[in-house]
Amino acid sequence: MKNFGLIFCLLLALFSCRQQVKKEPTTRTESQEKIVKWYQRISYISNTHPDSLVYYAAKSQQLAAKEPRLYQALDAFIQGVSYQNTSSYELSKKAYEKVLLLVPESKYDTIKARTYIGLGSYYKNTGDYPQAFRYLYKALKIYEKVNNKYGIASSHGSIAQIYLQKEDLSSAKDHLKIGLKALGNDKKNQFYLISSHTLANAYGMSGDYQSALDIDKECIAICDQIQSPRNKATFLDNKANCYMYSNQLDSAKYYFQECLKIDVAIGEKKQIGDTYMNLGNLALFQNDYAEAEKNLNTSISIFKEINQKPNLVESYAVLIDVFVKQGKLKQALAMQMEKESIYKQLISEKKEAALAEFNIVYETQKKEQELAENKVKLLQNEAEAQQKNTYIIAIALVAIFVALLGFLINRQQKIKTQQQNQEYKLKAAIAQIETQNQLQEQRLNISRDLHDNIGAQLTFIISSIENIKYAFDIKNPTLDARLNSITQFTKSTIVELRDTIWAMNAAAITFEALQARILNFIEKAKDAKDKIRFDVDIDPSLNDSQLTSLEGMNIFRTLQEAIHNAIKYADASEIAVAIKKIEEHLEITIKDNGIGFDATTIGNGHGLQNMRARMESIGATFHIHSEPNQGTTIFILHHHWGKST
Amino acid sequence: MVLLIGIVCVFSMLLFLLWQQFRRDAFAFQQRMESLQKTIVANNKRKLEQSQKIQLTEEFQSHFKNDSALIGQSIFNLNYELFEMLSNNNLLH
Repeated sequence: MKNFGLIFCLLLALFSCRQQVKKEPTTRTESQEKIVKWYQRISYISNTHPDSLVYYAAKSQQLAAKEPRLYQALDAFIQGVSYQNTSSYELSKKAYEKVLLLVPESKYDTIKARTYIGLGSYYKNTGDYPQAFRYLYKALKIYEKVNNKYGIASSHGSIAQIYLQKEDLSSAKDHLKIGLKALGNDKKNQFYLISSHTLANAYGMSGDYQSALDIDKECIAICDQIQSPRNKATFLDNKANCYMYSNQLDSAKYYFQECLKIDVAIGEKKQIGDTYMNLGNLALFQNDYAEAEKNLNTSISIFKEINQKPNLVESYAVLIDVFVKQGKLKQALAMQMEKESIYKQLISEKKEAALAEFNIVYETQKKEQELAENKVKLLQNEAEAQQKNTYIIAIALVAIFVALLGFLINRQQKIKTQQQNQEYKLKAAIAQIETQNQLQEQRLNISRDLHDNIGAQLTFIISSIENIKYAFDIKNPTLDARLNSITQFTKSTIVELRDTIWAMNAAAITFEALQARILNFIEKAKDAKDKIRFDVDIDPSLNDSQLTSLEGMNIFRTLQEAIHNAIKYADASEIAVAIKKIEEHLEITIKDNGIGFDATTIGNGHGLQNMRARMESIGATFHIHSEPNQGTTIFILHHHWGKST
Repeated sequence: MVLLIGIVCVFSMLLFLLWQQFRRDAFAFQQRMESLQKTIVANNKRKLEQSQKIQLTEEFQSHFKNDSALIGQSIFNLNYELFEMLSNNNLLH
């Protein structure tokens, strides 16, 4: 019964694997699908085809090599189960630890819980019960959190196994009951059957055969319902053992034989051998030594065939008892020697297996260390490369910035030089203009002095003539005419001089000043011929406007000339002068109602050429329109008046 | 990374300061040029005014040259006739 307990302990742990792997949002590849499928079915494979585990583990490892972490974790779990199945506990522990490293995230809690049960199983097998409890309770906590009843049952079943191993049957039973309670009415499943089987074992070990038989009876009925002969055989075996130890040997024989029928039907030789060994043991209880010897020899031959040394040793032990009871000491001794030989082989094999496992663990650790060292070197190289890159980027940046700064400073220097040149040229031009202005100013000063002298001399001449005329009573008409001619000529020169001084003394000539001058001239003209009607019209909007001295002088002279012509040659009785501002232009019209003239015959006479030249010199246009007996009209149009030309 | 950020910050600051200096220089130059241009405009205006006045005075002098010759001729003729008259009347000594 203890053997069954240990086997079922592993199965119970493995059946906790029935939880579904959380679905990944993306579509899985064929390899990933296979890994997930094997992960989900690993408990079934372990239970039904334990020899196939190694094959599946190898295939899974091959497929998971290039897959993401999650699939590597699932593969590590499969490896852990495979190692556990072959009693390579250290390797199984490493595999389970790898699972925890690969899936640290909380969303993979169920995978972690299964791994904790695996680790609990490892620590149970190595006798470190506190650690085993720690992991199993961690698994239990996760299953309780996600309310997974199968996981809860598995966790309690595994904890019960530790108590069974510690021969604390009461605690073991308590945990098994909690596990079964968690399943409730959900009995038609492996979890219920495994936990029930373990509980029945616990009852059997504590001598409560009736309770064990009740459980067996219930579970055999369930096995029949779900058509699971393999599980049924285990309960039949348990039942037979209960009857055997409660000395109901006929019933025990009946159930062992029922069990044998199922084992033969399934064809699993180890189970057949076990049942033959139990039948041999039962025959020994019944003192039917021949039957016992026959059954035990059958079991021994089966165990030898499948090389099942632990069971072989047990069969030999029972056979030795049979020989001893019969007094066949020689045969008993031979069997004992055979048993010891096989036992030694078994120990040796275990040692070799342990050594091999140790070597694998050592090699693995060595490789892991090498990998870790390589990783560190790789990281160091990466860090160095990164540092180098940083320096290169820094140098490049500095170079770019320095080049940029150099370019900007150089550009600025060029601009500065250009600015200095420009400034120098302007200053030179200013100096030149100022020099010219000074020279012109000197010339003007000289001119003013000259004008004063001329004015004084002309006035002296007039004064002298007037004195002569006053002092001497000149009766000679020729002499008088000569004196009058000189006086008149001198006076006109003085007028011209005064006009020039008038124009020169003002920086600019206003239209009011021009109007006053024109009116003054007209008054003098009226003295010469008083029948003429003058009409002078200057646009009031021009009052604030100014003309340059040259413009003012030339316009005044042109008007003088035009009025003089109208009086002298046209015999006009009406003369109209109009100065208007049209938009930005200055329009001057001098119109008379005189005799007019034919432009083709007169040509440029009567000062017309002089007037035209004066107007053109200030940028104005000069037009004259005249026909015989139709009067004369002069148009002057000045576009850029009042500005420097 | 800190080194790179530091370099970028320092050089960015330098560029900013340089840019500000350039702007100040450009503004000062602009001011100076405006002042010089105003001076040139004023001087040119003055020069033009003076030129026009000189033109006027030259024109007058040109006229006066003719007028002066005519006055001189008139005075000579007056004197000639006066002497002729004195001579006819035997008043010359």
